[in-house]
Amino acid sequence: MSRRQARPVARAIAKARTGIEGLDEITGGGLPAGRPTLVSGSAGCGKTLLALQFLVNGATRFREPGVFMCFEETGRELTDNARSLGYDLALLERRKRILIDHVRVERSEIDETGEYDLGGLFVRLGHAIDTLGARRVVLDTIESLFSGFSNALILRAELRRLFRWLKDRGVTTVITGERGEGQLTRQGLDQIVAIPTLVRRLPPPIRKIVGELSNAERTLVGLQLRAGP
Amino acid sequence: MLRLYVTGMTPRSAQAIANIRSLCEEHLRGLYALQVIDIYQHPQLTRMEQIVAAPTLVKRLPLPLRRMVGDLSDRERVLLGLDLREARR
Repeated sequence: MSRRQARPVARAIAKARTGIEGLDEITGGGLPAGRPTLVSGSAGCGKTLLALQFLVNGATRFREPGVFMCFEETGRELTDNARSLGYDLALLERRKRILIDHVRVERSEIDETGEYDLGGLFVRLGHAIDTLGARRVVLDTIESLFSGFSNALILRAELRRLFRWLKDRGVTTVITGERGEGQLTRQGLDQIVAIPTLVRRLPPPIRKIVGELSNAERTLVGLQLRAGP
Repeated sequence: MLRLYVTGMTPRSAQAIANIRSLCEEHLRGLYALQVIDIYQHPQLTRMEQIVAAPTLVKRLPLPLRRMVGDLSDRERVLLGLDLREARR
């Protein structure tokens, strides 16, 4: 597969600023407004942080409340991580600027007994968006659903439906995905549905994120980031 | 104590309701409480109850907590999830 850069989409598409220094410049003003964008990168490269900054900046600087749906970290882990960056998620939650929903999918708790869909997730996300009047959504990392449910066919069809639904609702969405063997995400999300994809590959935004680190640590982080395919 | 979460009255919802009712009547007559909840009417419950798939049957008690997703047509698995396997002949 050819390497994809964050390429500017047609100029006619309105942009939603991320407020992340460097990223808004290389993307020609931000992410496509009202549409989903996939952020792909190797493990530990800062996809969650990028998504978090996108959401917090939206809520605090651009008057766009947002819903963070996390499928991996717990709400508390996320809040703690955010605090280390100087964000007070609890306060933003109390002010109804953001809403964090931790989606737990434990294979050990779930039995599949017949035909199902992800209707629960749609209702849940829709309700969160409505509660806040949200303009931004983060799904981090939705592919975790594949470890909780075994029917990949259903999941793929439902994710396709979900991305369409998000677009219809007009919320600017960041979907994170971890790079897998030879593809942008483990389950090939970008193949499930045509979606603008931002490959998280380093410098500009990461510099800001790791700003508190020493030079030695920065080098270390840089090496780790470059380890991806 | 069982709660079945469905998305409106789709054929799949109806199927799940029929399946769990008949199974409970057969194996748990008089010993169970079944509540059917339409999440379109009560969307806030999806977060509290960790609902992702629909339909989802949640068994809170007796422990352990189990979630059974789907239309509950696989009776064997449902019985297993309800810890009723021994009850089966």
